[in-house]
Amino acid sequence: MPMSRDQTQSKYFQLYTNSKRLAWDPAAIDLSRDAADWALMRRDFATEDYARQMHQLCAFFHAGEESVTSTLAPLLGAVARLKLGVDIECYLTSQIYEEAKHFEFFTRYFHEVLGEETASLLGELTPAPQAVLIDELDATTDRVRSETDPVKLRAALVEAVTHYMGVVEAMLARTGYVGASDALAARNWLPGLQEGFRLIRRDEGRHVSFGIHFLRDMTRLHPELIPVVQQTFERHLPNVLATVQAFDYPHPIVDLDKLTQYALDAYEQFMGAIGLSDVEDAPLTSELEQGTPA
Amino acid sequence: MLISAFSADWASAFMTAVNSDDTYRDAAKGWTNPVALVVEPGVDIDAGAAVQVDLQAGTCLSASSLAPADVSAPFVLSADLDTWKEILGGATDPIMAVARGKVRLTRGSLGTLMLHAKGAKALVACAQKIDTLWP
Repeated sequence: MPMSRDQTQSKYFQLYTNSKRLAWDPAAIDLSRDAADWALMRRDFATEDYARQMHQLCAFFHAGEESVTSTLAPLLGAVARLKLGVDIECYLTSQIYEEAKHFEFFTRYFHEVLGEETASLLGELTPAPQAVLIDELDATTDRVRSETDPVKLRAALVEAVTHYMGVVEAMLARTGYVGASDALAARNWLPGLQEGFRLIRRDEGRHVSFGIHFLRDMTRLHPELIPVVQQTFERHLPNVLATVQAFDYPHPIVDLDKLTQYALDAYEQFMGAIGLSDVEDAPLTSELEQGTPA
Repeated sequence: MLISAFSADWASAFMTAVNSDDTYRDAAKGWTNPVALVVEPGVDIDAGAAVQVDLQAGTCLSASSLAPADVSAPFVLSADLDTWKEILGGATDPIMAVARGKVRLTRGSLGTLMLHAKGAKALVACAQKIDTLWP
Protein backbone atom coordinates (compact mmCIF):
# COMPACT_ATOMS: atom_id res chain seq x y z
CA MET A 1 0.00 0.00 0.00
CA PRO A 2 1.52 3.40 -0.95
CA MET A 3 2.21 5.93 1.77
CA SER A 4 0.02 9.02 1.73
CA ARG A 5 1.39 12.55 2.09
CA ASP A 6 -0.36 12.75 5.49
CA GLN A 7 1.43 9.64 6.63
CA THR A 8 4.80 11.16 5.77
CA GLN A 9 3.90 14.04 8.10
CA SER A 10 2.72 11.82 10.95
CA LYS A 11 4.36 11.61 14.36
CA TYR A 12 5.23 7.99 13.62
CA PHE A 13 7.06 8.88 10.43
CA GLN A 14 8.88 11.73 12.22
CA LEU A 15 10.12 9.21 14.77
CA TYR A 16 11.28 6.96 11.94
CA THR A 17 13.08 9.91 10.34
CA ASN A 18 14.75 10.74 13.65
CA SER A 19 15.86 7.14 13.96
CA LYS A 20 17.68 7.38 10.60
CA ARG A 21 19.20 10.75 11.47
CA LEU A 22 20.46 9.62 14.88
CA ALA A 23 21.77 6.20 13.88
CA TRP A 24 24.92 4.96 15.63
CA ASP A 25 27.11 1.89 15.58
CA PRO A 26 27.72 -0.13 18.78
CA ALA A 27 30.94 -1.45 17.29
CA ALA A 28 32.31 2.09 16.98
CA ILE A 29 32.14 2.97 20.69
CA ASP A 30 35.57 3.28 22.27
CA LEU A 31 35.87 0.81 25.14
CA SER A 32 39.63 1.13 25.54
CA ARG A 33 39.51 2.72 29.02
CA ASP A 34 36.70 0.61 30.43
CA ALA A 35 38.71 -2.52 31.17
CA ALA A 36 41.11 -0.56 33.39
CA ASP A 37 38.23 1.12 35.20
CA TRP A 38 36.52 -2.21 35.68
CA ALA A 39 39.68 -3.66 37.24
CA LEU A 40 39.90 -0.62 39.54
CA MET A 41 36.27 -1.04 40.65
CA ARG A 42 36.91 -4.68 41.49
CA ARG A 43 40.20 -4.02 43.25
CA ASP A 44 39.65 -0.75 45.15
CA PHE A 45 35.92 -0.94 45.89
CA ALA A 46 35.52 -4.56 46.96
CA THR A 47 33.86 -3.56 50.24
CA GLU A 48 31.27 -1.43 48.44
CA ASP A 49 30.73 -4.21 45.90
CA TYR A 50 30.39 -1.63 43.12
CA ALA A 51 31.59 -4.04 40.43
CA ARG A 52 29.02 -6.63 41.45
CA GLN A 53 26.26 -4.00 41.33
CA MET A 54 27.27 -2.71 37.92
CA HIS A 55 27.58 -6.26 36.65
CA GLN A 56 24.03 -6.95 37.85
CA LEU A 57 22.75 -3.79 36.14
CA CYS A 58 24.45 -4.74 32.89
CA ALA A 59 23.08 -8.28 33.17
CA PHE A 60 19.56 -6.87 33.52
CA PHE A 61 20.11 -4.56 30.54
CA HIS A 62 21.58 -7.38 28.47
CA ALA A 63 18.72 -9.77 29.24
CA GLY A 64 16.15 -7.00 28.74
CA GLU A 65 17.58 -5.88 25.40
CA GLU A 66 17.73 -9.47 24.19
CA SER A 67 14.10 -9.95 25.20
CA VAL A 68 12.82 -6.81 23.49
CA THR A 69 14.83 -7.61 20.38
CA SER A 70 13.11 -10.95 19.98
CA THR A 71 9.57 -9.85 20.93
CA LEU A 72 8.98 -6.75 18.80
CA ALA A 73 8.42 -8.42 15.43
CA PRO A 74 4.92 -9.69 16.37
CA LEU A 75 3.84 -6.10 17.05
CA LEU A 76 4.96 -5.05 13.57
CA GLY A 77 3.07 -8.00 12.10
CA ALA A 78 -0.09 -7.08 14.00
CA VAL A 79 0.06 -3.45 12.84
CA ALA A 80 0.25 -4.73 9.25
CA ARG A 81 -2.59 -7.23 9.73
CA LEU A 82 -4.80 -4.55 11.28
CA LYS A 83 -3.81 -2.09 8.50
CA LEU A 84 -3.03 0.63 11.04
CA GLY A 85 -0.67 2.47 8.72
CA VAL A 86 2.54 1.99 6.82
CA ASP A 87 4.04 4.95 8.70
CA ILE A 88 3.73 2.91 11.91
CA GLU A 89 5.26 -0.08 10.15
CA CYS A 90 8.23 2.06 9.05
CA TYR A 91 8.74 3.25 12.61
CA LEU A 92 8.57 -0.23 14.15
CA THR A 93 11.03 -1.53 11.58
CA SER A 94 13.51 1.10 12.76
CA GLN A 95 12.92 0.14 16.38
CA ILE A 96 13.60 -3.54 15.72
CA TYR A 97 16.93 -2.51 14.20
CA GLU A 98 17.72 -0.35 17.23
CA GLU A 99 16.88 -3.07 19.74
CA ALA A 100 19.28 -5.40 17.95
CA LYS A 101 21.98 -2.75 18.24
CA HIS A 102 21.36 -2.36 21.98
CA PHE A 103 21.65 -6.13 22.38
CA GLU A 104 24.84 -6.06 20.32
CA PHE A 105 26.28 -3.32 22.54
CA PHE A 106 25.82 -5.31 25.75
CA THR A 107 27.04 -8.52 24.13
CA ARG A 108 30.19 -6.70 23.08
CA TYR A 109 30.55 -5.11 26.51
CA PHE A 110 30.44 -8.44 28.30
CA HIS A 111 32.88 -10.00 25.85
CA GLU A 112 35.39 -7.15 25.81
CA VAL A 113 35.14 -5.54 29.26
CA LEU A 114 33.33 -7.57 31.88
CA GLY A 115 34.96 -10.75 30.68
CA GLU A 116 31.98 -13.01 31.22
CA GLU A 117 30.30 -15.37 28.84
CA THR A 118 26.78 -14.15 28.14
CA ALA A 119 25.26 -17.55 28.91
CA SER A 120 26.17 -17.13 32.55
CA LEU A 121 24.09 -13.98 32.84
CA LEU A 122 20.76 -15.72 33.07
CA GLY A 123 21.64 -16.73 36.60
CA GLU A 124 21.59 -13.04 37.56
CA LEU A 125 17.86 -12.58 37.11
CA THR A 126 15.61 -12.92 40.12
CA PRO A 127 11.92 -13.85 39.66
CA ALA A 128 10.53 -10.30 39.29
CA PRO A 129 12.72 -9.16 36.37
CA GLN A 130 12.54 -12.62 34.84
CA ALA A 131 8.75 -12.28 34.79
CA VAL A 132 8.31 -8.68 33.68
CA LEU A 133 11.26 -8.44 31.27
CA ILE A 134 11.17 -11.88 29.72
CA ASP A 135 8.52 -14.49 30.47
CA GLU A 136 5.40 -12.31 30.50
CA LEU A 137 6.57 -10.10 27.66
CA ASP A 138 7.18 -13.22 25.63
CA ALA A 139 3.69 -14.55 26.49
CA THR A 140 2.04 -11.20 25.68
CA THR A 141 3.69 -10.85 22.29
CA ASP A 142 2.99 -14.51 21.54
CA ARG A 143 -0.72 -13.77 21.89
CA VAL A 144 -0.28 -10.91 19.42
CA ARG A 145 1.42 -13.32 17.03
CA SER A 146 -1.30 -15.96 17.20
CA GLU A 147 -4.53 -13.94 17.53
CA THR A 148 -6.70 -14.02 14.42
CA ASP A 149 -9.82 -12.14 15.54
CA PRO A 150 -9.29 -8.43 14.68
CA VAL A 151 -11.01 -7.08 17.80
CA LYS A 152 -9.05 -9.36 20.12
CA LEU A 153 -5.87 -8.66 18.17
CA ARG A 154 -6.33 -4.90 18.68
CA ALA A 155 -6.69 -5.45 22.43
CA ALA A 156 -3.68 -7.77 22.50
CA LEU A 157 -1.62 -5.21 20.58
CA VAL A 158 -2.56 -2.43 23.00
CA GLU A 159 -1.62 -4.69 25.93
CA ALA A 160 1.70 -5.54 24.28
CA VAL A 161 2.58 -1.90 23.53
CA THR A 162 1.68 -0.95 27.11
CA HIS A 163 3.88 -3.73 28.45
CA TYR A 164 6.75 -3.16 26.01
CA MET A 165 6.96 0.63 25.68
CA GLY A 166 5.23 1.61 28.92
CA VAL A 167 6.30 -0.92 31.54
CA VAL A 168 9.62 -2.21 30.21
CA GLU A 169 11.01 0.81 28.37
CA ALA A 170 9.50 3.83 30.19
CA MET A 171 9.49 2.47 33.73
CA LEU A 172 12.39 0.03 33.81
CA ALA A 173 14.91 0.60 31.04
CA ARG A 174 15.02 4.38 31.18
CA THR A 175 15.07 4.27 34.98
CA GLY A 176 18.01 1.90 34.97
CA TYR A 177 19.91 3.85 32.34
CA VAL A 178 19.49 7.19 34.09
CA GLY A 179 20.49 5.74 37.47
CA ALA A 180 23.53 3.96 36.09
CA SER A 181 24.56 6.94 33.95
CA ASP A 182 24.41 9.31 36.93
CA ALA A 183 26.39 6.91 39.12
CA LEU A 184 29.15 6.44 36.53
CA ALA A 185 29.30 10.11 35.52
CA ALA A 186 29.71 11.17 39.16
CA ARG A 187 32.78 8.92 39.43
CA ASN A 188 34.05 9.37 35.87
CA TRP A 189 34.14 5.59 35.42
CA LEU A 190 33.59 3.38 32.36
CA PRO A 191 33.35 6.09 29.66
CA GLY A 192 32.50 3.56 26.95
CA LEU A 193 29.60 2.23 28.95
CA GLN A 194 28.45 5.78 29.66
CA GLU A 195 28.50 6.55 25.94
CA GLY A 196 26.52 3.39 25.19
CA PHE A 197 23.97 4.32 27.85
CA ARG A 198 23.65 7.84 26.39
CA LEU A 199 22.95 6.59 22.91
CA ILE A 200 20.60 3.85 24.07
CA ARG A 201 18.66 6.30 26.24
CA ARG A 202 18.24 8.56 23.23
CA ASP A 203 16.78 5.66 21.27
CA GLU A 204 14.58 4.62 24.18
CA GLY A 205 13.15 8.13 24.26
CA ARG A 206 11.79 7.61 20.75
CA HIS A 207 10.46 4.18 21.67
CA VAL A 208 8.58 5.54 24.65
CA SER A 209 7.35 8.45 22.55
CA PHE A 210 5.97 5.94 20.03
CA GLY A 211 4.19 4.07 22.84
CA ILE A 212 2.59 7.26 24.11
CA HIS A 213 1.35 8.35 20.68
CA PHE A 214 0.15 4.88 19.73
CA LEU A 215 -1.76 4.29 22.95
CA ARG A 216 -3.22 7.80 22.91
CA ASP A 217 -4.41 7.29 19.33
CA MET A 218 -5.79 3.81 19.98
CA THR A 219 -7.62 4.68 23.21
CA ARG A 220 -9.17 7.76 21.61
CA LEU A 221 -10.44 5.69 18.70
CA HIS A 222 -11.40 2.75 20.91
CA PRO A 223 -12.15 3.92 24.47
CA GLU A 224 -13.06 0.36 25.41
CA LEU A 225 -9.32 -0.34 25.34
CA ILE A 226 -8.53 2.09 28.20
CA PRO A 227 -8.96 -0.65 30.85
CA VAL A 228 -6.49 -2.82 28.92
CA VAL A 229 -3.80 -0.16 29.44
CA GLN A 230 -4.71 0.35 33.10
CA GLN A 231 -4.85 -3.39 33.88
CA THR A 232 -1.53 -4.03 32.15
CA PHE A 233 0.26 -1.49 34.32
CA GLU A 234 -1.59 -2.77 37.39
CA ARG A 235 -0.47 -6.34 36.71
CA HIS A 236 3.20 -5.47 36.23
CA LEU A 237 3.73 -2.67 38.78
CA PRO A 238 4.65 -5.04 41.65
CA ASN A 239 7.31 -6.74 39.54
CA VAL A 240 8.63 -3.39 38.31
CA LEU A 241 9.03 -2.17 41.88
CA ALA A 242 10.57 -5.48 42.96
CA THR A 243 13.02 -5.27 40.06
CA VAL A 244 14.16 -1.81 41.18
CA GLN A 245 14.52 -3.05 44.77
CA ALA A 246 16.95 -5.70 43.56
CA PHE A 247 19.55 -2.93 43.74
CA ASP A 248 19.14 -2.43 47.47
CA TYR A 249 22.76 -2.92 48.54
CA PRO A 250 24.45 -1.80 51.79
CA HIS A 251 26.63 0.58 49.73
CA PRO A 252 24.45 1.29 46.69
CA ILE A 253 26.18 2.67 43.63
CA VAL A 254 22.81 4.09 42.54
CA ASP A 255 20.47 5.94 44.89
CA LEU A 256 17.58 3.53 45.33
CA ASP A 257 15.03 6.14 46.42
CA LYS A 258 15.90 8.22 43.38
CA LEU A 259 15.63 5.16 41.14
CA THR A 260 12.24 4.20 42.60
CA GLN A 261 10.95 7.75 42.29
CA TYR A 262 12.12 7.92 38.68
CA ALA A 263 10.19 4.74 37.85
CA LEU A 264 7.03 6.03 39.56
CA ASP A 265 7.35 9.41 37.86
CA ALA A 266 7.70 7.66 34.51
CA TYR A 267 4.45 5.77 35.15
CA GLU A 268 2.57 8.92 36.17
CA GLN A 269 3.91 10.93 33.26
CA PHE A 270 3.32 8.14 30.75
CA MET A 271 -0.31 7.83 31.85
CA GLY A 272 -0.64 11.62 31.83
CA ALA A 273 0.74 11.80 28.30
CA ILE A 274 -1.73 9.19 27.06
CA GLY A 275 -4.51 11.17 28.70
CA LEU A 276 -5.40 8.57 31.33
CA SER A 277 -4.37 10.67 34.30
CA ASP A 278 -4.39 14.37 35.13
CA VAL A 279 -0.79 14.09 36.30
CA GLU A 280 1.55 16.58 34.65
CA ASP A 281 3.39 14.80 31.82
CA ALA A 282 5.61 17.75 30.86
CA PRO A 283 9.01 16.46 32.07
CA LEU A 284 8.74 13.18 30.15
CA THR A 285 7.24 14.73 27.04
CA SER A 286 9.78 17.53 27.01
CA GLU A 287 12.68 15.09 27.33
CA LEU A 288 11.35 12.84 24.59
CA GLU A 289 10.61 15.68 22.20
CA GLN A 290 14.11 17.06 22.57
CA GLY A 291 15.55 13.67 21.69
CA THR A 292 18.17 13.89 24.40
CA PRO A 293 17.98 12.77 28.01
CA ALA A 294 17.46 15.49 30.60
CA MET B 1 -2.75 17.68 73.81
CA LEU B 2 -1.42 14.27 72.90
CA ILE B 3 -3.94 11.90 71.32
CA SER B 4 -3.50 8.13 71.30
CA ALA B 5 -2.58 6.89 67.85
CA PHE B 6 -5.41 5.34 65.85
CA SER B 7 -7.97 5.96 68.65
CA ALA B 8 -11.45 7.41 68.02
CA ASP B 9 -10.19 10.84 69.09
CA TRP B 10 -7.22 10.49 66.72
CA ALA B 11 -9.56 9.61 63.85
CA SER B 12 -11.66 12.67 64.64
CA ALA B 13 -8.56 14.89 64.78
CA PHE B 14 -7.41 13.39 61.46
CA MET B 15 -10.73 14.33 59.82
CA THR B 16 -10.51 17.88 61.18
CA ALA B 17 -6.94 18.20 59.93
CA VAL B 18 -7.89 16.95 56.46
CA ASN B 19 -10.88 19.24 56.12
CA SER B 20 -8.90 22.32 57.13
CA ASP B 21 -6.00 21.65 54.76
CA ASP B 22 -5.99 23.53 51.45
CA THR B 23 -3.03 21.55 50.12
CA TYR B 24 -4.89 18.29 50.58
CA ARG B 25 -8.07 19.74 49.05
CA ASP B 26 -6.17 20.69 45.87
CA ALA B 27 -4.00 17.57 45.69
CA ALA B 28 -6.84 15.08 46.18
CA LYS B 29 -9.55 16.56 43.97
CA GLY B 30 -9.56 13.40 41.88
CA TRP B 31 -9.60 10.91 44.76
CA THR B 32 -13.01 9.49 45.67
CA ASN B 33 -12.38 6.41 47.80
CA PRO B 34 -12.44 5.48 51.46
CA VAL B 35 -9.00 4.50 52.74
CA ALA B 36 -8.00 2.47 55.78
CA LEU B 37 -4.66 2.68 57.56
CA VAL B 38 -3.99 -0.53 59.44
CA VAL B 39 -1.44 -1.19 62.18
CA GLU B 40 -0.50 -4.83 62.11
CA PRO B 41 -0.52 -6.72 65.41
CA GLY B 42 2.82 -6.55 67.18
CA VAL B 43 4.63 -6.29 70.48
CA ASP B 44 3.25 -2.90 71.47
CA ILE B 45 -0.17 -3.34 69.96
CA ASP B 46 -1.43 -6.88 70.41
CA ALA B 47 -4.62 -6.74 68.37
CA GLY B 48 -3.49 -4.17 65.83
CA ALA B 49 -5.50 -1.03 65.09
CA ALA B 50 -7.03 0.78 62.16
CA VAL B 51 -8.46 4.09 61.11
CA GLN B 52 -10.78 4.39 58.14
CA VAL B 53 -11.47 7.69 56.39
CA ASP B 54 -14.05 8.34 53.69
CA LEU B 55 -12.29 10.68 51.26
CA GLN B 56 -14.26 12.37 48.51
CA ALA B 57 -12.78 14.96 46.16
CA GLY B 58 -10.50 16.68 48.64
CA THR B 59 -12.67 16.38 51.74
CA CYS B 60 -13.12 13.81 54.49
CA LEU B 61 -16.75 12.82 55.01
CA SER B 62 -16.17 10.54 57.99
CA ALA B 63 -13.43 8.96 60.05
CA SER B 64 -13.54 6.08 62.49
CA SER B 65 -11.29 3.92 64.61
CA LEU B 66 -11.95 0.22 64.26
CA ALA B 67 -10.46 -3.22 64.53
CA PRO B 68 -8.40 -4.32 61.50
CA ALA B 69 -10.88 -7.11 60.80
CA ASP B 70 -13.73 -4.58 60.49
CA VAL B 71 -12.09 -2.47 57.81
CA SER B 72 -14.29 -2.18 54.70
CA ALA B 73 -12.50 0.48 52.63
CA PRO B 74 -11.57 -0.40 49.04
CA PHE B 75 -8.02 0.81 49.70
CA VAL B 76 -6.19 -0.65 52.71
CA LEU B 77 -2.62 0.27 53.63
CA SER B 78 -1.03 -1.98 56.24
CA ALA B 79 2.25 -1.74 58.13
CA ASP B 80 3.77 -2.43 61.52
CA LEU B 81 3.73 0.17 64.25
CA ASP B 82 7.33 1.28 63.78
CA THR B 83 6.75 1.95 60.09
CA TRP B 84 3.68 4.07 60.82
CA LYS B 85 5.70 5.98 63.41
CA GLU B 86 8.35 6.70 60.77
CA ILE B 87 5.78 7.79 58.20
CA LEU B 88 3.63 9.91 60.49
CA GLY B 89 6.76 11.35 62.04
CA GLY B 90 7.88 12.52 58.61
CA ALA B 91 10.99 10.33 58.43
CA THR B 92 9.71 8.14 55.60
CA ASP B 93 7.87 9.14 52.44
CA PRO B 94 4.55 7.23 52.33
CA ILE B 95 4.63 6.48 48.61
CA MET B 96 8.24 5.35 48.80
CA ALA B 97 7.25 3.11 51.72
CA VAL B 98 4.62 1.44 49.54
CA ALA B 99 6.97 1.19 46.57
CA ARG B 100 9.69 -0.38 48.68
CA GLY B 101 7.35 -2.81 50.41
CA LYS B 102 7.45 -1.32 53.91
CA VAL B 103 3.76 -0.55 53.65
CA ARG B 104 1.59 -3.18 51.97
CA LEU B 105 -1.42 -2.31 49.88
CA THR B 106 -3.56 -5.24 50.99
CA ARG B 107 -6.66 -4.09 49.15
CA GLY B 108 -7.04 -1.75 46.17
CA SER B 109 -5.32 -0.80 42.94
CA LEU B 110 -1.61 -0.02 43.17
CA GLY B 111 -1.78 1.74 39.81
CA THR B 112 -4.57 4.02 40.99
CA LEU B 113 -2.79 4.79 44.24
CA MET B 114 0.44 5.68 42.44
CA LEU B 115 -1.41 8.06 40.15
CA HIS B 116 -2.60 9.93 43.26
CA ALA B 117 0.76 10.11 45.01
CA LYS B 118 0.44 13.85 45.68
CA GLY B 119 -2.91 13.34 47.38
CA ALA B 120 -1.53 10.46 49.44
CA LYS B 121 1.41 12.55 50.59
CA ALA B 122 -0.87 15.47 51.45
CA LEU B 123 -3.11 13.11 53.43
CA VAL B 124 -0.18 11.87 55.47
CA ALA B 125 0.94 15.46 56.01
CA CYS B 126 -2.47 16.11 57.61
CA ALA B 127 -1.95 13.19 60.00
CA GLN B 128 1.50 14.55 60.85
CA LYS B 129 -0.16 17.68 62.30
CA ILE B 130 -1.77 15.62 65.08
CA ASP B 131 0.10 15.48 68.38
CA THR B 132 0.19 11.71 68.45
CA LEU B 133 0.82 9.57 71.51
CA TRP B 134 2.32 6.26 70.44
CA PRO B 135 2.00 3.01 72.40
